[in-house]
Amino acid sequence: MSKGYVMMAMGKDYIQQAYLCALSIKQTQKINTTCLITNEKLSKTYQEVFDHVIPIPWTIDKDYYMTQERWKVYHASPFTESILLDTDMIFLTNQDYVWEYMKPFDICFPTSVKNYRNKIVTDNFYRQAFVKNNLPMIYCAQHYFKKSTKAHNYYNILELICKNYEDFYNIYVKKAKPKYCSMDLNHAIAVTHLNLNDCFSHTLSFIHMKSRVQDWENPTENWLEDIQFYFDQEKQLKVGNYKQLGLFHYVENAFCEKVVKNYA
Amino acid sequence: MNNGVLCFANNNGRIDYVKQAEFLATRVKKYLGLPTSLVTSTPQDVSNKKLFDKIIEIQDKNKNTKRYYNGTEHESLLFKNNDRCNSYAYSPYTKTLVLDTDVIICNDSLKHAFTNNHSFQIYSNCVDLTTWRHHPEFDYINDKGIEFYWATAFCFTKDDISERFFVMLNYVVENYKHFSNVYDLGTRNFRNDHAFSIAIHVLNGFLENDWIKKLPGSLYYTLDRDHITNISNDKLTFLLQKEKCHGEYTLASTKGMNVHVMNKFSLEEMIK
Repeated sequence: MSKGYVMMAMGKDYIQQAYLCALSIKQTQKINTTCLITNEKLSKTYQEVFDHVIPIPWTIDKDYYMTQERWKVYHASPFTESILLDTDMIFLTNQDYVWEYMKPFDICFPTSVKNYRNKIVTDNFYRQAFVKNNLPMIYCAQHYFKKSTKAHNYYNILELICKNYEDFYNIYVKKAKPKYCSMDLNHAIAVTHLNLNDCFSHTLSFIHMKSRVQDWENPTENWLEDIQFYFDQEKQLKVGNYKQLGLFHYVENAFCEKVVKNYA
Repeated sequence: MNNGVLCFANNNGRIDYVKQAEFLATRVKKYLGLPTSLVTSTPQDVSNKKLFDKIIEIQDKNKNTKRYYNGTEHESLLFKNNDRCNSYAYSPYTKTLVLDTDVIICNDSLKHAFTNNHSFQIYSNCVDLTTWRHHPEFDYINDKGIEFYWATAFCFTKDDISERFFVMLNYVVENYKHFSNVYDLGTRNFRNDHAFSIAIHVLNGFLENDWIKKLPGSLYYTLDRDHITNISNDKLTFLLQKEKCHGEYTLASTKGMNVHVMNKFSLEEMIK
């Protein structure tokens, strides 16, 4: 049984973010095998950090990466058990215990995330489509899957949704319908469509740095403009006066640009 | 194990905090059945020494001033408030409940602070008596800042954990200008609530708190823009400033609720 973290990335910024995330995994986790799924050609420095670099399967235009291609991660992952991560995340402390908690699951999503004060996010500013259409409040930026029949079926449905998202949104997202393809929504539709109720856990969670979930009076669109962060040589992070632990979803690429230097 | 209440009262020539302390001690005895010790720089103003278990005399070192409101009027007076960080040293009790003198005790809920094993208990959420006011500065010390704790009431056991807390608190108080910068408090006056909040946060490793516990019961408050108009046993009557109506009030009363009355002038009128 192999376990590892999987990311999917195309484009210079996202590749650098994946590189930073992989470095943080190596730094903090004992279970620290990583896989990058990409069609980009990586530099030697980047290549060395990842244990596996795998091309995105079944692509027509290898330079073109779209959100709706992300269903392929299940099929491309080299691991028996995978945790998929968005690239704009870093690990600050060990989370090996998560794997043990994931044992009973075939697929598992977090249903609550926290802000920089470690408070559970209750603001639905970014989640109107979920609230108004009674969709399960799941986050796919970090989720677990196991190579299994159940997970395979799930990702087949997800593929169908990704390829026909406008049609599915007409059925499942009648209110506050987004104009673009959202993987969070696609997963929520897949979970609803398959009537799954055993794919949620609070063990999966992360600090979400979208500015409007921070409980601030007048946030800007970019949290870096609202509050200072301090990343020291020991790779400890403070946002404002709060120390950050666990998995940190920094959202803004400028954060990566500054922090990646500390890993050099 | 001996339990008791500690309060601080330093008269400033205008507000009779010692009188408030006497009023508090009477109600502590009645509702909590506990002795009260007084820490004061103006012991000569104590009119009934029998009300206190001990009177601890201190030197007056404070030079802070602040605006004291009485409804719509206000005046700037000396505010002698920064000895509270020495509660651990002053207290003659093994377990001590420290109360502001302007808290009116109307029930026995705080007795339960003495029936648990917690080292340190304090409120983070006090409740405004009005339904129309919300004070974000009482949720967090500022918009991006740490959680706000009320130094109005807290209970500590003399043990290693509490001792460490008071060492940290003293460090914050001694270096308040620095901490005020780091915690982005701007030019605001020294405030015990802020010093306590910072010390709690630092001692918890700059994380969300989990080592201190909430005091039992609830503590309500009225602002210095409100007036207290009657005290009858456990029933209190107030005039609460209306929403967006300067100088207009709504009549309200409470029964059996502990209330922190911030209008010192109004409170003094009531307890004369």
